[in-house]
Amino acid sequence: MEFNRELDNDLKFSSTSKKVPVTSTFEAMGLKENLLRGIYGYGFTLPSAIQSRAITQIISGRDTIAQAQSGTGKTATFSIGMLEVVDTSNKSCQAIVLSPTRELAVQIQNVIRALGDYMNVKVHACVGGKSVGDDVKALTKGQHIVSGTPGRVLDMIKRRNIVTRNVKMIILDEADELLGKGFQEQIYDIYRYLPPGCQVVVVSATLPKEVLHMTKKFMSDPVKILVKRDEITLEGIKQYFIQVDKEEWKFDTLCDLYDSLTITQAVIFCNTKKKVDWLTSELKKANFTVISMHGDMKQDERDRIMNEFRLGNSRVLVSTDVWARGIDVQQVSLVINYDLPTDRENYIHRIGRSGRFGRKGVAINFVTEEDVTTLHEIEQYYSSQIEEMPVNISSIM
Amino acid sequence: MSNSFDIDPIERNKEFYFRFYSGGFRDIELGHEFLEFDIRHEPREEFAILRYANQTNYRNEDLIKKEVKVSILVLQEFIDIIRKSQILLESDRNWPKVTRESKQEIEIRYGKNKKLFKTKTIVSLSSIRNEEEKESLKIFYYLAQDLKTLVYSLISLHFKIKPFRLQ
Repeated sequence: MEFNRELDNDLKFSSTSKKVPVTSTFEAMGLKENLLRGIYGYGFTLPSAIQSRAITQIISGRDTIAQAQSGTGKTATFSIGMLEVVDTSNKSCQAIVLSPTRELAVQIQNVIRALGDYMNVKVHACVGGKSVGDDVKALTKGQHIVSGTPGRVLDMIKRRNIVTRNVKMIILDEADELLGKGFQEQIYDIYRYLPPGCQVVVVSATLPKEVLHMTKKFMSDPVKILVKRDEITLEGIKQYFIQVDKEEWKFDTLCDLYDSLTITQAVIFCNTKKKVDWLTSELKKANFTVISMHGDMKQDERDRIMNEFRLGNSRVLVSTDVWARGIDVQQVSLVINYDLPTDRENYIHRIGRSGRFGRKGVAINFVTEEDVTTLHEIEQYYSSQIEEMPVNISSIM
Repeated sequence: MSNSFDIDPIERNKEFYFRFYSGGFRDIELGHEFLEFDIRHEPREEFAILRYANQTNYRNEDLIKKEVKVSILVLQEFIDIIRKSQILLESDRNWPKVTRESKQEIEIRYGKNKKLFKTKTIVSLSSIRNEEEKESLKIFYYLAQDLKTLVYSLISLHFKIKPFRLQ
């Protein structure tokens, strides 16, 4: 191992910046009248902890790192910040939001549209798998805000369909994922096209120190609103595990649970697309109604599945980590990890698909003997408690 | 059986100390990961000190340390949970031995009396079902669970900013 003492001395990311003011109502944030109307129209009354701290910082123009528990209003935080800063009388693109999945980028577009309902703001979702021609057409009309996935956004910037000259703000949602191996290059490429002094906002429920350290490369003196790892799990989400002797027994365990899954809506996570396909087909063979989604499906199929699940027409969804982050379907109250996630961050994100905005949720982990140690390490890392599943599931739902 | 003793829940003139540790060396990247908490009451003090630590090197994360003063009532609750568990009647002589990778400890001191329990990490009840001393290990396991629940609640009440305000 190599030690870089100089960098180590620099590493003072231990906590939230001192004196981040708390603004306890939306009125007190000094927002535009028509934005405030949109916020109330959306159903918000009082800001959540992250909203009462981060919105005013984003508006002030400072680079901001905003961390908060899953489902506690991060999307609305940066959306409100952006909408306040955007000048709708100027047709040019002024803000870009990047997210790791297409569904999330579209969802963010919808949140911004809803909050900006009274503002005549133009928002476009710029994601892979959709027609490039339609993107070009929409962008030519002029869009104040673009919400997209890195690949397509970079493509549109290179083709000059997104003109970055007037971009004041870029938001990296699920920043730890975007700065990971899969996206890092594209993110840095996009960053190079932005005008100097462009504000950078970094957002996620999970921001390990390694990621915070990387932000030094492209953020200047950011305001930091952070949550320690032992405060990141939500009390509203009860966590359980079921230990099986053999991997093959997970399937029977799942079948036994099926009736409980359909009480509201449930998401079952597997680690590979192949396993999602396999599990879905086995469940269907056993006459259970399920739908599934993963990254190898065509986009129109993914859209159809998302729509069906959002409408509640289907109650049980089998998916990969494409569904782990950010997706907000409020009726989801149960998450099953059929496989344990491969990193500790996605454990938090997966279970965070339930328990949205203060609701109750349940997470159940299926573990074999080897997994149980890994799960124990995850549990301890977050100082949370994951109990062995009681026999009667209805007692916990 | 070695020195069993009892704790007088209302005696305030003897030192009381309890410590729980769970952890081990994982690998180069994770380093020594552990959770540890202890509570100490000095003779005649009107409060006790609860300390908590969570360490890992996962993705450059590091030590989290928190410390709170708790009232005698909280201390008595601690002692109550410990006494009811009957851990003080147990011995770790035939428990699975600790390894460098996997260790859990409970230390209890009361005046001049002291007990230390060590075993490798109990990750679930099913993992100890074939142990000779499983009933005794269960006591250790449930006590650790109960005290973790209490400590996590106390620590989070003191330090955690609630994501939502009560409306």
